[in-house]
Amino acid sequence: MSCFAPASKTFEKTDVLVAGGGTAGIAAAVAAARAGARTLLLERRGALGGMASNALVHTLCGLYLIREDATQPLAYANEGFPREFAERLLVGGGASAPVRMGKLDVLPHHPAALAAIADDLAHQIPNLTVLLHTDLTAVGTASGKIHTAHFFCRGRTFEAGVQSLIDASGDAEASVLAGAEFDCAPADRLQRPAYIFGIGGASENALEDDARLKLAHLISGAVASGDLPPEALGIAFRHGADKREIWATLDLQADPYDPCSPSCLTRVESSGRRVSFEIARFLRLHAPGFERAEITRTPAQAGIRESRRVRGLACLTEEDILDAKPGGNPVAFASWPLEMRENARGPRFRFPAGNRPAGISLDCLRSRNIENLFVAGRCMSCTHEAQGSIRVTGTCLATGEAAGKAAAAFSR
Amino acid sequence: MSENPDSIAEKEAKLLSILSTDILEIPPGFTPADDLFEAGLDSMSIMRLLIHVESAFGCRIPVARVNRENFSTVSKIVALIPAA
Repeated sequence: MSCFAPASKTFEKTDVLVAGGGTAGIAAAVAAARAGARTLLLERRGALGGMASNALVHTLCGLYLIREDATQPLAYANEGFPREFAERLLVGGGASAPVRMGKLDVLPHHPAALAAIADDLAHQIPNLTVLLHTDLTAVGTASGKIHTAHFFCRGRTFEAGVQSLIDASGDAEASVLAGAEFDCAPADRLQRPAYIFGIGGASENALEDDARLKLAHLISGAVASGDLPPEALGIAFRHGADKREIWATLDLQADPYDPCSPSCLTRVESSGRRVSFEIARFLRLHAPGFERAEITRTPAQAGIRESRRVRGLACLTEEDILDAKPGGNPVAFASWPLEMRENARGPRFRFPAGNRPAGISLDCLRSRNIENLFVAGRCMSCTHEAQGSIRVTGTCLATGEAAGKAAAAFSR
Repeated sequence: MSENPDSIAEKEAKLLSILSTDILEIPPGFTPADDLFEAGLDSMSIMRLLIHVESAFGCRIPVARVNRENFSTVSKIVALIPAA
């Protein structure tokens, strides 16, 4: 291929097309290809991993069952691909040991290493093709079925015949293009976005003991006096897998919020950047241990927690999660509590009965009106409240694997 | 001179009301002696709490007194607020 290659090209026929290379899309593509399907994975950015690499989300949540106390053994909520992927990260140096945050166990990981491990995994599977820097632009349907996908890279357009499509875009983009039904919570209830950045050069005990609370005191004083903008109140700090690095997560209110509007996304990115640099400058001048701190990493995009949700053959609800309903024939388990972040004031958790996981049926991963459209990850079929549980990466890996297997079986 | 118990109770009620309206989901029956960190108080919510305390009580708690122990209950936080 060269810069002078024809402006459009027909791709070879594909059994399963996966839109979006986040954790759900990686899992879906690997599972479909391993089941024998000729699989094509499209990713808009230059790295696989989605939020867990490009948005610098640095902990995998929802990988493990909830433990009431740390004396109980740690167990994966989903064996299969979620466990395999976590173990690949651990073995490959992409993650350190799990850590406990309150009642929850999470796996801290290196965002860039996660993308590299996903590359490596994809290279090992001959019938899986990954196309980075490629956007899905149109989906051809007839009689409630998808037959072609159109995509775009650097001014060139491509077309491929497809047997089935898995929407792992997070924003249900493929579903919109296919004319599938979807829902979206009102703007004031949508989970708020987060701008995550890395801080290097701080002393290793900069967050130890009461230092974190004293930082909170310092920042609130600066906001009250006008030295920092009000958005700075959305900040939280955490050590990375490597203690020399600190991750700062800035939850943004972003009102009026519309995660599918380009002008809103532009505002979110620019305010995240502006406030993160203001905070770093302030910390250097005033916070003990931060004298030589600087921003070492900024995200390729802000972290989006919620936007559209596809209407499926079934819909996972808040009650399903809180009552820990096993479901009829579960293909994945949701083990994260309902974590609501409908404002930038920090999370509110609601835990399921007996800390048990809820079952997710395949019908929650299938479009209600497009026969060969599957969904995985945070835009699967569920209510706004249930989405506060299933959006986490551990569950995305599980719904991705289930959708990948189902789409491969459908395409046979 | 120790502070009037009525005025302490008043401050505790005011602080609990600030916490439950704007900062935390306080379970029913929560008292000024109950642990706030167990109820979900974290460094992010402490930022907002400090701003509210400043505007509601007209004082700023000195940084030297900011630690986990002093912020663990409503009563302990009220003890940091000087008598009017």
